[in-house]
Amino acid sequence: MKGMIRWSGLGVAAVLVILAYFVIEPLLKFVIEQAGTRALSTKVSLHEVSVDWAKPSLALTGLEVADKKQPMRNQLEVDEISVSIDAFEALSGHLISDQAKLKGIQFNTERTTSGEIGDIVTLDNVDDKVTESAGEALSLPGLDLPDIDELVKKENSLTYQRYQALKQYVDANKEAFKQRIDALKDEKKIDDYKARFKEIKSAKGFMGKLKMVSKAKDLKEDIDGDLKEAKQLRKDFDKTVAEIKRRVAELKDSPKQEADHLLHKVGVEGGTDQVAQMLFGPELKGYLKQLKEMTSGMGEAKASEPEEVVVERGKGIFVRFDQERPQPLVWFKKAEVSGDFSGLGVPFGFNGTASDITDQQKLTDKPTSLDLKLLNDQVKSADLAVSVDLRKQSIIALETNMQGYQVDKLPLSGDFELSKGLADIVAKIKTQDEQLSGTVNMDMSAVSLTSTGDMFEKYPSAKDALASISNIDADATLSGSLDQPGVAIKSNLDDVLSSVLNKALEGQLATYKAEVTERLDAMLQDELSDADTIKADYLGMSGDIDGTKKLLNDLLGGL
Amino acid sequence: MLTIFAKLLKLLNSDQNPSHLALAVCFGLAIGLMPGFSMFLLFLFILVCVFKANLTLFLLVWGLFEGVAYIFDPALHQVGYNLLTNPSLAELWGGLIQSSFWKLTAFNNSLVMGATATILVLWVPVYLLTILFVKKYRGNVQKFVEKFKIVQMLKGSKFYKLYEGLGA
Repeated sequence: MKGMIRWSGLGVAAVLVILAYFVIEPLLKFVIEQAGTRALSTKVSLHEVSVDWAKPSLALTGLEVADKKQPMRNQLEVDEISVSIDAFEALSGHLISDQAKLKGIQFNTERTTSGEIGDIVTLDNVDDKVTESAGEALSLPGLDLPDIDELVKKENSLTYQRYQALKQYVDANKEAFKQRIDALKDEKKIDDYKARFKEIKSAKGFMGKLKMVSKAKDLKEDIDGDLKEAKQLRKDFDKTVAEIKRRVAELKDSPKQEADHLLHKVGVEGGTDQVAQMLFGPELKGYLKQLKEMTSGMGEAKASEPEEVVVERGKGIFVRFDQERPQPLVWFKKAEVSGDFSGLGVPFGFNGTASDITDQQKLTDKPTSLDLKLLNDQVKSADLAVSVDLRKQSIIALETNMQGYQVDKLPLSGDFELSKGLADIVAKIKTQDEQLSGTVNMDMSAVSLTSTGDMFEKYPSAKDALASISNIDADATLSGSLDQPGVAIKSNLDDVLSSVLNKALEGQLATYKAEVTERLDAMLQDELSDADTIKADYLGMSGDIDGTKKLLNDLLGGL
Repeated sequence: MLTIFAKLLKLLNSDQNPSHLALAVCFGLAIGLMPGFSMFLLFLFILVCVFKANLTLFLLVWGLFEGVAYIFDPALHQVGYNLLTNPSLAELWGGLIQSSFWKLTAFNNSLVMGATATILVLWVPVYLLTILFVKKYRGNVQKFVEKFKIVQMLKGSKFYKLYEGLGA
């Protein structure tokens, strides 16, 4: 054996091992990037990986996870990740560690190179995104009323539809009753009755009259049957007359009702009862939309699926064996995290702890939770606790408590600005399979609320009322889904502003409503007057029914 | 081609220990057959360095078996696939896959497994046969071959100068 060893070769082997040592870092970088990209279906890149063999631990710097929808942006960027993990374990593509530190977490940052891995992103998509993010604009009823011509269109008119329905109802019933009256007044049948009557009357002698008794009985039964039908006809007719009267009356009142309905549809209803809703609603909905975008990527990571069996020359195929405990790609059981939410439009830095950060909760069987301190020069103290549970359902719970948040020049919506205010905010928001629930309570003092556009130019009293508000208490209740969140806000603002604005808007709204009603009246003038004609024409059939009934009664009386 | 053949003859005719030549053939065969993405390859290279395998012959055989591996790729895949999907071995593979080290060797790849099995089966016979061949060649064939007129003619040719030029 001694003769088999090449002692100088040991040096070469040592060189090889050293070479491997130098190669392992780029190799790890490659493995992690590839595994991440495959698992998240978006480009995952690293600036550098360095191995500390003494601890052992890995330091990953410049992690970038590209946004699938916008390849020139990163969904997530982390400046540095330090993980207590053996380098050989990391070579298998799994980053599983009891302890990790994630520094410089940022969201929605720009990329220098495209993160596209498959789908082509066109400018149209980008435009769509810009349009989407433009958000809702605020419009107060009465101050921005819709064009009446646009609002009132015959083909969409409820009154016109009611008129058409009435016409159809009358035509159908008229035809049915005409057929029933014609059947009763059938000349052949009446002549037959008369002939049979004559025959009965002409009978002579006891035996002759006795013979006619059964014939008289038959005739009576026939006439009784017709009379019964005539009575039913009357009953049915009266019923339809009542319905027609109701419909005509409804039609007469319809333009007014329709005006109310149309105004309600375009938001000209309720006056200024919900000013706070209009002021803060769009803003809150904007944050909820961000929450949806933030969480939409979660839980998308696919569990490893068996690779397709395609045998390439020189590559073979990998046969999969069930692992006793399949591991996720990433699992940081405990982690210290720090970063910045500004990319999400939330002006806070953060630091804190997280547990069970992973790409596959189904494998770790633990929810991810974060306890963060939110950092901002303008806030006294702010805590945020987040729990993300995607194991069975998608449940995300978020609790925040902010004290002394100095709001400065916060644009609330199109024409309003919260120039300053000191807010205490407590929010509890939960989403369960996209269903939203929760509350946001805000107590704001030292408030200065101004309108920035010309919305209130016509209403100086409202502008003054707005300026006089120094304290805002608002309680928002969230419902609906993340796509269509329902935000109901109750606030003292409502009382203050609604009285002022209601007064200012009352007259204008009344005029507008009258104009809409008048326009509907004019547009449907023909139909409304035609309704009376239809009713009168229909009622004319009443004489026919009565005449038929009288004729049958006369015949019966003769018997 | 002539150079390679000349090198081969030179090695056979040299005083090199037959077992060193046999090791070179075995390592050349192993590294030639083993796909590049397995960690086994690194270990084999380290072993080549540590054991006294003749490096010239190793390089020659390695090159030869790279070609052989390409030709026999489907057969190696089939051997590996059959072994990996054999129910009686499932427990063994299932146990190995739990370890990160074994995962890095890519043993669950059909080609790696096929190559590994082939190497294990061929190693000892190839080793022994190479030693036997070298000994036989040196004992009988070498003297016998040199008696041929053609060989004597060759000795005066360019090939022989090439052969001589290779040095010991």
